[in-house]
Amino acid sequence: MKEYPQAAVEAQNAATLRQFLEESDKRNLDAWRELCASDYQLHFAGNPPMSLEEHIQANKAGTDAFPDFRHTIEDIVAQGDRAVFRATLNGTHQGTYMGMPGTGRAFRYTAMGMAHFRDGKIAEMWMEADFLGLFQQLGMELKPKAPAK
Amino acid sequence: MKRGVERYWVSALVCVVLLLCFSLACQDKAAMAELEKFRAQAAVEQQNVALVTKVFDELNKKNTEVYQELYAPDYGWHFPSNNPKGLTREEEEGFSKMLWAGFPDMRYDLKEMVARGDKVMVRFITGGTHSGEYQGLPPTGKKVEASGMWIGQVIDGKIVNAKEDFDVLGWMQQLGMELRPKEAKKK
Repeated sequence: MKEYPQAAVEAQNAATLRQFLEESDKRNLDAWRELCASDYQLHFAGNPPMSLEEHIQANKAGTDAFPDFRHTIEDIVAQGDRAVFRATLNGTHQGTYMGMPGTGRAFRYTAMGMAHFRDGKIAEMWMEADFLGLFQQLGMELKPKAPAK
Repeated sequence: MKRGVERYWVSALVCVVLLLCFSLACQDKAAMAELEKFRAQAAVEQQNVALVTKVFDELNKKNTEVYQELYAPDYGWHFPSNNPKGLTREEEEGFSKMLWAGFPDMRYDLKEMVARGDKVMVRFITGGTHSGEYQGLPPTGKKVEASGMWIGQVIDGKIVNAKEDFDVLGWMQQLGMELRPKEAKKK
């Protein structure tokens, strides 16, 4: 079937983004070094940009604390040199996560991401996640900051 | 006899040429149809991007008529994005008014958009000054800013649903809140 050539590139970018999320579920983060450009940057919420190695470490910290951590991909949309995903994330809090010892609680929260591709590799990623929802399920709540003593 | 053979070859050749022309024309037609399809799709996607841009522009002007004009009557706002029961457009209007009361100068800054089929994805930053009461917090005068992503579905020129994830935690932390282990309810 004849398609406009961009369609094949977009399908490939969508497949790469899907594989990126699946490799995390397979605990095969070495694959990220193949799927991403070496100068990859992650922009997550309001945090300073993370390098590929920093993102790998952050993902590993998550899967160490949540050994059954999984993505369910709800949506993948690709256009031009960009692809977008929407996912639900499930897991159980068994190890220490960001200073919180394991609670045994199961959680389910959402995330979305936009990937920019360069030469078939993910060069830059923007992500948002319902972290407030995650922490609330782990037994935290928002309170006014205690005044410094 | 020889003439008969020649005639046979000529007619066979004509047949082959005709068949070739026909199949080339068909292929050409199929390719044209395919191209037309992509062009039509691209036009719809452009319209959808224009519609979504207009929605955020109008919200920046606090024009609540946008909910009646550009949202479908059975619209649902899924926030966070897996919230199964979306807020209605009337409920979303109430939510916007609550935000504008707390942050009268609040604005959406659309960073980039991706449109494919009937979906439009927006990456945005929104911010404002906390100069009114917001979720029980008296005004602090703080300027806050946080990022989000939004995927809307557009059918016949109306937004039929939207799914959103937003850095609510970052937003609340900038207002002076923090995460703490939930205290057991006192009796």
